[in-house]
Amino acid sequence: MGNKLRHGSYKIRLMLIITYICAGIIPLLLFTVVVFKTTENYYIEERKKELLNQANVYSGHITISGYISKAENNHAFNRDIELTSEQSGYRIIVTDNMGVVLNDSNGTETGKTILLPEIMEALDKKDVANVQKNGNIYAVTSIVDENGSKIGTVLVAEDTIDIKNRVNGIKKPIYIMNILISFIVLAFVLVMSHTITGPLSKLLEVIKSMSDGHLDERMPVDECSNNEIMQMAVAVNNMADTLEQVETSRQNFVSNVSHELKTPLSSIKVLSESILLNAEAPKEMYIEFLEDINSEVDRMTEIINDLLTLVRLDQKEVPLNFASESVNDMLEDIIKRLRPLSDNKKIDLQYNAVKDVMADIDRTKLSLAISNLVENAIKYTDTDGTVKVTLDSDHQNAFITVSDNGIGMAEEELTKIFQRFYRIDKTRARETGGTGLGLSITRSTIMLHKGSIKVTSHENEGTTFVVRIPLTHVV
Amino acid sequence: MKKLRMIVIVFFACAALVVVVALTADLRNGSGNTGSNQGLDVYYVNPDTLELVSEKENVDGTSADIMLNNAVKAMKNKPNDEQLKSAIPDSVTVLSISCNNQVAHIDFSSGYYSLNKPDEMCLRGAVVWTLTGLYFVKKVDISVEGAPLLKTSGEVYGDADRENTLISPSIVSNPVTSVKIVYLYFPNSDATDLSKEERKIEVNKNQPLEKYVMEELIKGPQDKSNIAAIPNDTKIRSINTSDGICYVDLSSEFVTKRNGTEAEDKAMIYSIVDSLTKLGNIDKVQFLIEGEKQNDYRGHIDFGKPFEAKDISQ
Repeated sequence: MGNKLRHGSYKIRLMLIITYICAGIIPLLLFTVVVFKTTENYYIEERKKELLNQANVYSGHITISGYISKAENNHAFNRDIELTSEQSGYRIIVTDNMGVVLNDSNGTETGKTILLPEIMEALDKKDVANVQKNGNIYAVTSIVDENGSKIGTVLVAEDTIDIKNRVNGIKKPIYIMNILISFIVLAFVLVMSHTITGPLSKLLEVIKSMSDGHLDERMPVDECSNNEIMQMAVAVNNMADTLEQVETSRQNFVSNVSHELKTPLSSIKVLSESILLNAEAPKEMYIEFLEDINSEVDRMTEIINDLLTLVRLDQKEVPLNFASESVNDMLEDIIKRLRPLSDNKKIDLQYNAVKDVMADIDRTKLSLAISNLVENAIKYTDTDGTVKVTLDSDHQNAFITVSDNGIGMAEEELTKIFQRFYRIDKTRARETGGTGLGLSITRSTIMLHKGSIKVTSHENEGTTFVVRIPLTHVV
Repeated sequence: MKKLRMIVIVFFACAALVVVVALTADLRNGSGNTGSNQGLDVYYVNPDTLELVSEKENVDGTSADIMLNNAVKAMKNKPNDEQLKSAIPDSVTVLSISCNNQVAHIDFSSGYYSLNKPDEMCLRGAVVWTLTGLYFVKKVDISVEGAPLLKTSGEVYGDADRENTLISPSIVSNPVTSVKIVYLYFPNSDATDLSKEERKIEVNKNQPLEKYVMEELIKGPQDKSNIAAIPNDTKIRSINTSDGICYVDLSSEFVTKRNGTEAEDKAMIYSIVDSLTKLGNIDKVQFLIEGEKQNDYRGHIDFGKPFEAKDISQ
């Protein structure tokens, strides 16, 4: 397991480096190579034009000086061609239109026939300059007489080493710079990749530790960087918080349940032991004690049933049947059912529906949830009090408000009342009855409807619950 | 003793075998007179690059004429390489072909004159290089309808061979060796004047021209009526020019092996000076013998200071 984690970290680094090489270094290299090639080609093309120009100039010079037409000018021709070649650095060869060399600045080919493709082309079509395999440029122009016919050619040859050297001169520093830049950026990439892989490795360590059972591990969060990895770290920490909370509440729940069940159980024990120890107990005593035992059993059954409901709701084992129902009807039913209770305590139970509201709800479950709220309101309001039930809606949600002017609750209690078995006043618990699970079940039901429940309260002034239910159930 | 004899016999047998193989190899290469020519290089044209490329073809024949005709046939055939074509265009036919004194005479039809320059030059090159591949052909003479081929100047083109007809030559812009024309002065027979000689010599760019001039002077004149004044075992120890003065350092033979009058010596000295100063970069010549400046040359010529060119006939 540990090995897998470490390799993953290297893979990201490697990927970043490969990406940099492919997207950074290789294009850079290609770019420099292309630039150099283009530069070299440009210079060579310019050189070709220059040589053609020179060849044409010399061709004109030959015609004017009459070197070809008059054989007596041979010495002058020799001197001329040698001098021109020396001054310019070119090789100059003059041929007739059969390819026979009339003069050669190097002296070696005079009298021979040279059958070069460039000479053939200059005589047949037009002047041409080409780069040869040996790196020289041959520029050949035709010599034209007064009648316009081609009587020979001038071949000017020059090598391109100086161009190559010039380009190479630029190449070296640029390549060095390329390498330097590549190394610098590579180092930078490596360092930057650490900002990703570093926290990732730490995160993996923390999660691994958590899954080994150390739920108190947290990922150190760097406040300065708000990048995705830090956000992930924060999310993991929150998840760990939740897990810890869940674990704590599980433990609390178990201890609560044991406690709640213990109480009726010890009552039953006391009652049954009393009877057993009292051999002479009268029948009425038996009946009374058995009645008490019975009601304790009922109480335990109720607690366990509620617990099961709650657990099933939380586990979503109970599928909610959503259907489009009239919320008004549901509330009217609840009011009708609970009016006897409120009448008993001379409490004014009011119902006000601002509009007709249709919503996707599970009528049975939601009815239970709202009933619980109304029952609580009645329970915790003194005689001659008021309980108001209001229904309103906007284009997205339905709002059910249950408010009373009863005993109210302190502000610090408000977050805790939805916890299982939580009682604000433990001493009053047995009197007022109930399992302590009502609000938990209500809240779960509303959560399953993707709604929300909020409570406001002031001691001795009253309490208000606002339930929001979305009109359409989105799966 | 018997073993030694065995070794000697085996050795001579091997030697004989090697000699036989060498001789027959010579024959097999066709330089004998068996009359067959396996694998002649037949030249074709690449019409895109205008280059001449050869392919080996079997050209046999019992006589020279038959082989010549077969060579021409091979040239007219379609070559193996797709990119090449025959160097002899369809518009031209070979009227006759024969060989005399190692010169092949080939006569073309008048269509030859209508060929464009590339076709004509490629045909010429291919014919010369193909035919000179036959062992009995050293040169090729081309004619059209019986009339000899002419150069632009109107002169006859003459016999062509592989030396003077270059196909795809490598012309280098800065060759190491070149041919230069130098002017050499030699004393005439009675040392009263210097006569000028023009000579073509092959020089290496890296050597100073003055060295070659001295070497040619030591070799002597081509015109035998002039005198080779410098003793021919004189060695040029070193020769270099700076600031227009050429310092010629010669070995002692220049003094010891010489036997002449003052006038003859003067003529020799000035033959050297005038030849060297003819080169553009030299104004004066300073002689050294075995590295040292001498006071005089054989007693009658002042060697202390450099010489300038002089017309000795004055």
